[in-house]
Amino acid sequence: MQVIVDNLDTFGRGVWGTVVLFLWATAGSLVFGTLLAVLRVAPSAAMRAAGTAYVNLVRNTPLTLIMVFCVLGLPILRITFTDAVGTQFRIYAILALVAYTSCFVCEAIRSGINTVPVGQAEAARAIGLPFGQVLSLVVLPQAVKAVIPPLGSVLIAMLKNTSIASAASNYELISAMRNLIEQNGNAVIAILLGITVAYVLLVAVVSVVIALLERAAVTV
Amino acid sequence: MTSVLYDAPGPRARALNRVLSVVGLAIVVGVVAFVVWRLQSAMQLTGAKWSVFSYTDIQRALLRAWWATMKIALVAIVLSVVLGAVLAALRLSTVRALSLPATVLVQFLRAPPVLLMMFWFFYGAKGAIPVFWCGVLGLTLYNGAIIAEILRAGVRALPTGQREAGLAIGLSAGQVTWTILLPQALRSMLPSLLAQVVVILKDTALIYILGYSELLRWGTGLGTQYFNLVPATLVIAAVYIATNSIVAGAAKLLERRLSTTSRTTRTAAMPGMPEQVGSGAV
Repeated sequence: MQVIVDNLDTFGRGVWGTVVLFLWATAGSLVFGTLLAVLRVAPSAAMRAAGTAYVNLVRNTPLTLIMVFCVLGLPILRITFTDAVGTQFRIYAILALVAYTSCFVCEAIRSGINTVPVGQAEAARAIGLPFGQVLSLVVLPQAVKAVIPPLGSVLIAMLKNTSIASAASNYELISAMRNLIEQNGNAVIAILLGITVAYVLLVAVVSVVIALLERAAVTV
Repeated sequence: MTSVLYDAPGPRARALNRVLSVVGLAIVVGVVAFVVWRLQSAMQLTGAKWSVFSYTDIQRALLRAWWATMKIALVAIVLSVVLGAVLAALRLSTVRALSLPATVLVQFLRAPPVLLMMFWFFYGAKGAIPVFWCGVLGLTLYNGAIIAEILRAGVRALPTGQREAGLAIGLSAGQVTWTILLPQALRSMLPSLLAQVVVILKDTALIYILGYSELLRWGTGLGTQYFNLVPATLVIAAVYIATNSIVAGAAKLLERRLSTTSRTTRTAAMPGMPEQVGSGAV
């Protein structure tokens, strides 16, 4: 374990990189995933078809491939965001995570809306509530409760998927691990153990936050 | 047609929907046109970039690369199901000395990323384990734990009479688990298991990061060689999507068939089963 203590800065940079990727990708995939869900339930057939096509195509593609495409392909298509190389790679990795995770966010939201019994909405319409109020007062509050647990699993899976960003020149836990192993070939097991513990703790923290959110949603 | 979100549309709603449909179609066409224009302006749609894929040599090589990926997936699937069944049987055991460690192990294996698990073997064994097996073992550990959870959920959805009947005719607890409960759980959870197969298929691409030559590595290699990285990744993506869609389609078909047979013959598959377990399908 000495090796972790001696290289706490490298280790910390790795944890920070993973956290940054996770937070940005969470924000992005919640927004884009909701948008996809709206597309998939929209009253326009073209929008529904577009949403369905995107979800079915992207979720059957390996994230590693999407990551490789973002890092190697987007520069060829001259899609760049900044001149700072490090930030550029970070944005590509976040884009890949968002593009992939949004599919699962969309499916979680859609299935959550579908758990609300049709009678609830019919009753709300029967007492004369307009579309906006049916949605905001009756359907969504019930859907949120059903959405949080699957959404939580999706986000935890995404947290683990940030490890793939190491293939996109991003500095996070896996890159930190490879760095440390290169420099300390005699303490490989300790390094592997340290990185594993870091992931387990990060997953635990996110799980606790989700459990708290779930409780808050139930008491509302 | 009425749904949670919309009432049956009246004349005004129908008019609004028509407008929305046109706007929606316009937006979709616009996005697709933008992507095509972007590819075009970056010179990615020229014949020279794509003609490589009409060579039979390249097609054969593509097929070989696809098979390399399938080999990883098939070995990992078989091992995962075996590990999953063993872990599920241990977790279901009434002997706490068996069930407790299995529970801890399953919970632990679900936490770290699969990529890290591959690195456990890659770096931990200092190169003594071939890269192929590092990938397969990483996939097996993670998916074994997920499959154990799926099977356990399947066993718990079985009527308790199944277990009691087995014990009543004098089978041991282990025999009941292996010959009565797990086979039925395997059957009733087949759709979830197939969904997990898609996850394994996708995660085989992780072995690219370890430097093993499979479908993705072959595609990027070809792309660098022929300066057609964008077309190459798109073709590879199409191959993955086609493979996974077939498995996912089979899962859906099976689900429908299982749910109808269980209604008519009242066999193992019980209604109200958990549709998905944990974060398995991401």
